[in-house]
Amino acid sequence: MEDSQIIALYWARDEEAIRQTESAYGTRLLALADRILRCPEDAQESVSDTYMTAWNTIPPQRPGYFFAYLAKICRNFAFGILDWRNAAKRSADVVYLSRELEQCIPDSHQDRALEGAEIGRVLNAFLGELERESRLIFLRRYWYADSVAEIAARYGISESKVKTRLYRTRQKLHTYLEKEGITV
Amino acid sequence: MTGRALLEAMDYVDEKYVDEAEFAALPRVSRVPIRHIAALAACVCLLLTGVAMFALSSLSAKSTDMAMDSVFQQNGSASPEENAVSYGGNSDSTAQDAPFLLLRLEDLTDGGYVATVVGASDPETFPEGMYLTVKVETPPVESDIAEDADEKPSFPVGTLIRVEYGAYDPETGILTLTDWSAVEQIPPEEEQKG
Repeated sequence: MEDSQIIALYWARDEEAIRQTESAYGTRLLALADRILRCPEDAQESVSDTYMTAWNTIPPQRPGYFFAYLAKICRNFAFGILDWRNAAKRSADVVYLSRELEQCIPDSHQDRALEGAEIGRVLNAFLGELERESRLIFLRRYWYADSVAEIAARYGISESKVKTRLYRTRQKLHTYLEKEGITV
Repeated sequence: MTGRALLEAMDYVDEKYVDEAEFAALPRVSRVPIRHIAALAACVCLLLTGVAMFALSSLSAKSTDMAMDSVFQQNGSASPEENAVSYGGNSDSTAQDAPFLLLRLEDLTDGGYVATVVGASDPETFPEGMYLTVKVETPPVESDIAEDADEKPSFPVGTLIRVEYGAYDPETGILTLTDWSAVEQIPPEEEQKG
């Protein structure tokens, strides 16, 4: 089924929309979440949450790139679970105290969001200037969390070439961010 | 900003790039560097240009030779190259050295013909299409051969002849032949071959 037809089902509030979404992109979303989490159960949870979020946000959203829209949601859930996992390893006291202190910081969440959006704008401009091959490899690595071996296998190129491309792209990004006044 | 912040900021990457990275294939890259291909293409172009120029020049020379040969074959004379050599002063080949004209007899006139030049060993003096009056100076003969002398060849109008002339007066346009033996008729079948 075409993306536009699936989205139409969401807009019609037809639960078939979720089944069709799973049929079309379930495997890809699961693979994405699993690459981030390295845990099938957690990955499946991320994907289920993704379907639920899609159901709740379409409408009013009408995504132009449906898979990318779902993948973003899924990636966010996966990183959220990762954060929770890492936080659980910390001392419960420290976490508790940290949360308390966080409440003293005005609009700290909004500040981070603004910072992320600004960096995202710079990143988009940078990716737009990047040649296509480098852009694909860069995004597979840092957006989809693919390993170097997976990227090499995906595109039929050597791992050393992937590493070289990534290194050069990181160097370019460093220079680009510096020009934009963003230091990493 | 930390690396983790940058990783999280990837969330703001345009969805078209995210979509592209999932579905697009890598652009196929040639294993042969572009500069090698360009150099090879340049060599091929040069080679083809050279071959074309050689072919054209050969064709042109050949067609010129064929045209000249056809004329000279009609006259039963040597090729231009051969003439060029013989005109260089080789006294042994007198028949080839003698200046000649290819004439088309257009009309009869008193004691001769009006003719147009078709070809000449000296095209500067006798350009193609030039009108001439051809007369034959009958040499003084002894009585015993008087009959032979009277047997002047008679060519119908329209005949192509080759003459080895003796004198030419540019003012009068009269070409005087020493005798009829210097006139050779080119048979129509040979003329048609050309």
